[in-house]
Amino acid sequence: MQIVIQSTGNIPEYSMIEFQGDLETKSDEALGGKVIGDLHFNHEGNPIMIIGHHILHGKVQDLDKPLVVITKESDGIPENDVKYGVTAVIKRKLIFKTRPKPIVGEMIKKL
Amino acid sequence: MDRSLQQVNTILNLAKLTESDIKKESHVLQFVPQILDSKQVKLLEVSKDTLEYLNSGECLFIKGNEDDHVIICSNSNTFELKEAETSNTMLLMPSLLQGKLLEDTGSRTLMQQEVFGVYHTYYEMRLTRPKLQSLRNVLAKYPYKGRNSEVIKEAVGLSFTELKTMIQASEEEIINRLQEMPAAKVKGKWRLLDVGFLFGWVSYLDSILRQKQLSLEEVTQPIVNNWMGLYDTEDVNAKCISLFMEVDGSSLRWKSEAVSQLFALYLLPELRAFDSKDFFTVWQQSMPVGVITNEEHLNGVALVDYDSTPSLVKYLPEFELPEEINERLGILFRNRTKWTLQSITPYVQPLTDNNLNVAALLTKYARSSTINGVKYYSSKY
Repeated sequence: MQIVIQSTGNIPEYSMIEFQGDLETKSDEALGGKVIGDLHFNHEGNPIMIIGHHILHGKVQDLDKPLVVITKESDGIPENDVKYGVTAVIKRKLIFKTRPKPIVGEMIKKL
Repeated sequence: MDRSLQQVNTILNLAKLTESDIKKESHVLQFVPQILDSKQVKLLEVSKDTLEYLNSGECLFIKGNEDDHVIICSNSNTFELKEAETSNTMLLMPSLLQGKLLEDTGSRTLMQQEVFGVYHTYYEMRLTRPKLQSLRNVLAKYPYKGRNSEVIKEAVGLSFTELKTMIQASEEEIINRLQEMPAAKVKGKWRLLDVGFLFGWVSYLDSILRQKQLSLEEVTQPIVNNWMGLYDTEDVNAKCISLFMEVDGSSLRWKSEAVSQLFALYLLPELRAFDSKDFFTVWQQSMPVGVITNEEHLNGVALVDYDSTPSLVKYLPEFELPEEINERLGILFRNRTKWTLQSITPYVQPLTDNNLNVAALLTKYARSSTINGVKYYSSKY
């Protein structure tokens, strides 16, 4: 059994955001199409992310080892003949290492 | 529904930040309608070398086997493939850090940033030793005993493409091993050359030399090719020459160790032990002219048990032992309690990799002791 990961070369670059915890929707709605939150950069170039009533301060980090994004090519291919294609590479990520902090003060109105 | 700059700014202020604290460009992160889930999309952590390899348009190959041990190969290297889980959440999106994006000019703008999906796992690759032992095992199902022993006309054996999907090693590693091992392509398919056949081949050539009262050094490769052309095909003969002879220009010499080992493999009946005195006599007598046997040539093929009376030679070829280190050492220590580094090396060498050489492997998986200044290895348990 062999699965080929095909590359056509000159891989485009993607970005990644990494943070603690998880994203949940009310009553397990699908995530598709949903707004996640806002992303800003301060003048030092560090990212600030606001999700719901949480604020996260992070930084931009180069990955020691890049991450390659591979995508299953499923169209019309039988299950035991699965192939992957190299879609993108991630060389840097926005990492939010600290725990999300709640935004206190006035109650946030419906977002 | 798209969010307005005003909404974004309101929340920013609630978070006790003002627009002067941040760059002019802000982003609204939003999932694409059809999220790419972790069944369709996977993240693979690669070294910079592997990235360069993929960037040049080369492919990687994932190969599983029965016991769920998964490896991933480039054209020349073999890696373990391991799933790594993180408690963090990873969001994947088109690059937003490229180029002038971080420059701060113009008026305040809001960018829509698509997010493709959420991931919690990625795969790691760690360079590992190729699993080549199975190459011999799969080819052993198609032994080649000489062209006169071929029962059916159709090609039997395995094509290189078949071997590539079956063997957990890279293409280059498989090719290298095929070159070293007693295997040959017959009618386009790979076969294992049978020990009896190889013994017959060497003996046949030796008998011609004896008849003509010549030594191998006195003839040239074209002459040998010519004689052996009657015995088997060109490919098979070429393989036998590379296995058993040193070729220096057109002059030839027997590889003593390879020939001695072949004859030991042929003479030592499986599952039975030989009186060592008898064995050494018969062994030397059977050699082609000019080949001198040496007990060290038995390393990796058989072992001499001096503890029994009379001392015995036991058939124990390396290629029949399991590839898993603990299983392999278990069998070795059952056959002999104490081994010197030299005698155990041929059995352990094939299991070494870049990180662990023979001595390091033994330190990890065996016990060492020193008796009269000689270091011995024995079972840990």
